[in-house]
Amino acid sequence: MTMLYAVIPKDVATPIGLDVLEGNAVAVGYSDEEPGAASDRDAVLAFGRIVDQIARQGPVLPMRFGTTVADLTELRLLIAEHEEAWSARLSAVGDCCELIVHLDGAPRSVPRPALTELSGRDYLMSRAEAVRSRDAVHDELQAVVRPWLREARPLPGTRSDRVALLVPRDAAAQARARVERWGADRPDLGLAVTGPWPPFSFCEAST
Amino acid sequence: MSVQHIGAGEELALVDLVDRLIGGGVVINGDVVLSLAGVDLVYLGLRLVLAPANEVGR
Repeated sequence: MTMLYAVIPKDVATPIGLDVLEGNAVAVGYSDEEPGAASDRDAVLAFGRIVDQIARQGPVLPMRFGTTVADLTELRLLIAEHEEAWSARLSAVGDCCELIVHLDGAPRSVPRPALTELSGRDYLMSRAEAVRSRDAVHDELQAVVRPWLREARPLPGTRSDRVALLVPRDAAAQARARVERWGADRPDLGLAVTGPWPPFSFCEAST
Repeated sequence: MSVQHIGAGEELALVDLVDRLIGGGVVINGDVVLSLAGVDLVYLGLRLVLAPANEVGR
């Protein structure tokens, strides 16, 4: 079984502890694993450490943890099938990193009312208002980081409203500080920032 | 640093990291295997993934 770690540019130094299979435009870092390899917390964190090391060396598209192929023949086919798209994404995000902004105070949804309290129309209107409010906060966030922002994507989750921001690596500290200052001015938003991370949320072209 | 002494910021960073490791990244459709759970399950299973944030070099 072959565990895939990351797509990287062709002809870069081999990431520590990994083998590399090159295509025409990109390469993929991989390691051979025993069938049934662990997928617990320690395995996820070990994977994360390697991805982090690769990201510190240069452009990277991290693979989702747990992505495996049967053998190198299958990996060659995979690279041939996807390398055009991967190469384009590496060019788009290669000099960037990701910040994740939590907006715990931003409206995510309207509490579900008892059916007798609201008509269907009222319920839908209240939902629409919540979406508008959330979108306004997102727009404000993007305006705050506009000088550095390459892309922004909302992230799924149940505990908080989260937005991933793609910014140049060399401006990450500045962008994060700007967002945190905005959060300090808007305590109602319950804002928190994590990162910089490798561009996990921007490995696929936006649809 | 033990799990019990992780600060709120470190905990949040760790959750984001693990969430993105298993919920982000390059996704391959087809016969290759994508293991572990979706994002919501990561959050529900927060206690299962808590560990010192410095374990992952952040």
